Amino acid sequence: MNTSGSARFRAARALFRKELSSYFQTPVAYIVGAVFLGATASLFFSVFFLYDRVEMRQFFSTLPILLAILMPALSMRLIAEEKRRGTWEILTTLPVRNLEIVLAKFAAVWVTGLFLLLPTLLFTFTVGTMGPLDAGPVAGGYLGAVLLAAAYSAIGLFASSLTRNETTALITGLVLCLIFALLNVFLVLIPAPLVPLFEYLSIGYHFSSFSQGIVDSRSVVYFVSLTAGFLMFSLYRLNTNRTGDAL
Amino acid sequence: MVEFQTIGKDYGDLTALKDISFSIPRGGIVGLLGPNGAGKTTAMRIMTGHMEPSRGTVRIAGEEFTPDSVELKARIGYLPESAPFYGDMMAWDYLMYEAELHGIDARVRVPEVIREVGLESHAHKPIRELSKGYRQRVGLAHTLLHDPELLVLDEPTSGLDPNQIIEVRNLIRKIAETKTVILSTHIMQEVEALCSRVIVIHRGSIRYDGTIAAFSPSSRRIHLSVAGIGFEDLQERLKKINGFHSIAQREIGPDDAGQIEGQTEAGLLNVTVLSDPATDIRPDIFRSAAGKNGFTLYEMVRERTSMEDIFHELTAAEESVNQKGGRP
Repeated sequence: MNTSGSARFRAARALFRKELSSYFQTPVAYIVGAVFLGATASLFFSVFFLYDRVEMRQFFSTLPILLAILMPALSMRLIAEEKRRGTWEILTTLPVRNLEIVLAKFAAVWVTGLFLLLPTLLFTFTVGTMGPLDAGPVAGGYLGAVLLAAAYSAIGLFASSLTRNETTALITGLVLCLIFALLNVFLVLIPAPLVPLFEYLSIGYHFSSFSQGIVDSRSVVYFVSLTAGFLMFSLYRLNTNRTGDAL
Repeated sequence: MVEFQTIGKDYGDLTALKDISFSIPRGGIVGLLGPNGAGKTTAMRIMTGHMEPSRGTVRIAGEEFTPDSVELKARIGYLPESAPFYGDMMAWDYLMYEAELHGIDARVRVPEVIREVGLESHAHKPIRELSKGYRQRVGLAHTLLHDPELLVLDEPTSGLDPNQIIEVRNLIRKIAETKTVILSTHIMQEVEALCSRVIVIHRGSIRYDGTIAAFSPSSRRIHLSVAGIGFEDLQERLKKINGFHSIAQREIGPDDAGQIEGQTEAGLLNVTVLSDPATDIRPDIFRSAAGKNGFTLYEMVRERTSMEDIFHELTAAEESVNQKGGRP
């Protein structure tokens, strides 16, 4: 019986490939992607000419909200659908660890999200033809977007692990993502001593530094921890939900 | 191969398994028999690592089995009831994915297993477009793919038409030549047709565990259709027969259709007689009918399926107690 590390990796890889192809074999990714592209383009270019500056900051500033809708829409099915359809029963009896399931599904939805971000590079070229575009903020902004997508993927996966109903998973994921995205907007409502803490916890605060071209290691640590944290919550949820009780 | 040591399972307030124990050695087909909701599926889900028991220990091939025992899971093939698979995947693609997951040579093994279960003509169709019978074959292919030592099949023939049932049963028999098969069913005939051993589960406990041949019922059933006599008179006459237990009127025939035809014919009195299993009282019934002041005997059938008896006996007694003492 092959139980080496490579065999374990192979199971996760098989699962990842199946998950990824299921996004692109069904219309889901294309529909969500088209809506996302339309929304980003209209939000960006409707104000772009008003500012009359050759920069992408307006585009990046919409991402924490738009990705908070896009990523849960992609991730809602990850576990909820398997539970609803009964395929979860087969998956859990195959020789795959829950950790591998979590990592493979997370990676699949993350990569899918990044694929859907690719067409927005066109905006960069469009803007670049209108004048000299500073590469720093654009590169920083996309690095931030990659990290942001990872964090939202992990949150969405966790939301999907809580239920067998995809709509519930979507709404839970959406709300969780938006809480992190908008935490800095509501800082005025928070008692003064707690402001720095809530500011540090907010996605908006960390993400805005990326789109200014500043790659702050604390922000990178923040996004990586947020992602790892929700992956651990998902794993914990799967490990403790083997009792077969409802959900 | 499989050992349950006082396995208990609760769903909230409901106890699905009441600390059951059994040990299934390597080889042969073992049937888990019980009505719907008896705990068969729960037992199978625990056996395959989908679920953790609330109490007790499971051993597979002598090793303690937990939902994290990936190495042991690789030695089990499990087919859940209704064979849930990803509907938009083609059977071929699905098996390729599983082969990759198991780390076996997909290009060799997948065509092989598809041939084994007779899925060649339907391998390149989305699973959701397959008929129930072919979906069940995908399920069997999935259980056989990694050449496991133990196969756990939850109601493998439910929802199939009679021809498909025969085909699937033949497949299971072939599989059992080299592997241990545990299957669940609520159909007695299935156990009789396939299993060398039967474990009867009812309300979460084991009621019988052994071979079918070893089960001796405490009574046997005889179905009669008569005319020219009332129920009370018939009862009085049959009471005199040595080995007679009881008699009851029956509106329709026994549930396994086809044993008695014309059971609703007008003017016939249909009864079921329970008798001592050691004595065949049919000759006495016939003599009683043919004798003085006799009656016309249209039909007399002794129930063939001893599993029906097992079942009635193990479950009916408790139900009648419950019905009487159930509500104040």
